[in-house]
Amino acid sequence: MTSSDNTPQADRPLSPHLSAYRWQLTSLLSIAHRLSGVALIIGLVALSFWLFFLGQNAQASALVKIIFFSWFGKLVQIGFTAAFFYHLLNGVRHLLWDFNLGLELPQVYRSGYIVIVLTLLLTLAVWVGT
Amino acid sequence: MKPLALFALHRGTTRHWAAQRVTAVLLTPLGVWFVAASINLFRSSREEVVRWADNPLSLVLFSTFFLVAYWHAALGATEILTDYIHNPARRSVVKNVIYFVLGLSLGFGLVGLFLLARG
Amino acid sequence: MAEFRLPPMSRPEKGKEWAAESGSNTRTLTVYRWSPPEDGATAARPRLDKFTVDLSKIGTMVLDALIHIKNTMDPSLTFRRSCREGVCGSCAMNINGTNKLACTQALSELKGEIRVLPLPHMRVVKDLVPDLQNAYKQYNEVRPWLRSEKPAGERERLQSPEEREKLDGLWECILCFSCSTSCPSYWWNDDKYLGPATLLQTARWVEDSRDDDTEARLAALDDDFKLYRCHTIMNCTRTCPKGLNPAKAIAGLKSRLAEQNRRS
Ligand code: HEM
Ligand code: SF4
Ligand code: FES
Repeated sequence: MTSSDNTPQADRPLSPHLSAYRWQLTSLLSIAHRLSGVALIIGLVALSFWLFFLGQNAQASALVKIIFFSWFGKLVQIGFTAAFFYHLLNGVRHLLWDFNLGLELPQVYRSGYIVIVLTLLLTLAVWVGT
Repeated sequence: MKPLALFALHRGTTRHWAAQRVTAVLLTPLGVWFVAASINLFRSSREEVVRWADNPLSLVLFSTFFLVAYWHAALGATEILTDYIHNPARRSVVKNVIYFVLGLSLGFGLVGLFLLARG
Repeated sequence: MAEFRLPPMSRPEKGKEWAAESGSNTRTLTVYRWSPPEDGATAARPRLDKFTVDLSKIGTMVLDALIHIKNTMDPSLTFRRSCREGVCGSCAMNINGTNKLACTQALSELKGEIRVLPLPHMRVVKDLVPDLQNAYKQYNEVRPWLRSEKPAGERERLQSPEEREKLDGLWECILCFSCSTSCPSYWWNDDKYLGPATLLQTARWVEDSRDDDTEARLAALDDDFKLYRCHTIMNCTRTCPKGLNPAKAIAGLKSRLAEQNRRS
């Protein structure tokens, strides 16, 4: 330790980070990938319970259907659809990066916007178009 | 990397990384197929789902999607825990709890699928 | 657990508003201030001071404004600088939310009030000076020098133009650590994740045809943290003031490491 460095580490403040760093497409899409991944884990659990209840008998199946297609259930389903499309599309973006493709900043921005637009369009197509 | 090594959840971080990619590659076509199929599936009555599950192709595709998705989810969850939970002992506890819950949920799903496929 | 919020004693409070310079063309800078406590005193929270400077008296860059403030308003304002032309890497700081070199960031390119903070998620030595010891220690850890069993010859070790070209985009790094401190993954695991700056430097030696230790360099990265905390967030590439691409360098390391493990 040099003489200019005699303040105990713990006494030094930590400089502002998450609260101060500007949100930008790079970080936003990255945290969205993580959040959609977590949402899909919950979706996978929901899917399992759907299978389980449907496996039982017709009454249980009817009950599950009522829950799934209540306004709230529908809202959640729309959320899962959007999370799925986003995670899938951004996942492909990740895979391309892993093959060293599309890593220049302008390409990163272009693919980012494409992913956002396609997510919206596909979600819309599933819930309005069918 | 021998192909089977990819199935190991715990060994080596490059394997973990590679397994996340391999499962993602598999999930891309399977996922598209699943979304397309599920649009009608969730709206169907039990009899219709039973008829759907009677088709070996859809049964195989669905089971593959289902298993690979759980595998990919477990890998992804591990990744998130490694980022945020710094104490290794606590991380390992939380990890095992999540694996247990995922395993249980997978079990429930498979039981349901089995019952549906049987009719 | 990762701490997403600043510890209470690290949260900046409103600071002093310094007497504004007059003039038809002024800009206001909000600057992060903190000094270590005097002997025996308890540490105070950091504060955000406001300085309004007359642009007609200074040069065009943020660093010019900081030097002007130090010379004419508050001589205790502390920041690192040396070359004032973007080659030494000393003056990296967070300017309006992203990391920049104060000496190459034009005031005219910034909108509104200018907010100047130290590099994010670092221990602060004083004002805009972050403690870089951990970052340097990590840099040292990858042994960033030529490693070869071949004895040194009569003259330089030669490279073909193609081999030399592979170092472009890597050798230009000035180790300002703007990229590492822009990375959320580095914020949460800066004790174990090497961060984009040091990984780009690793790639600089991995790509060097004269270096013979590629395999060991890559193998040393194969743990949960050193390399694989990179989630390709891309804040690094987005912020690098030299226009380099640490994220791409890291992707190269990942695929080389996967290939190396596949073959073994
Ligand atoms: C049922 C579906 C899925 C679930 C539950 C799921 C869940 C997750 C989770 C939790 C993560 C970790 C996120 C993180 O580290 O921030 C992840 C990562 C990833 N997922 Fe998925 N995912 C699913 C489907 C897909 C699909 C269809 C793809 C297609 C390409 C995909 C591609 C990826 C990729 C490439 C990563 C790694 C990203 C990184 O390195 O940060 N996932 N997934
Ligand atoms: S890669 Fe760019 S941002 Fe990172 S240390 Fe080097 S010059 Fe600075
Ligand atoms: S003073 Fe040298 S890079 Fe800014």
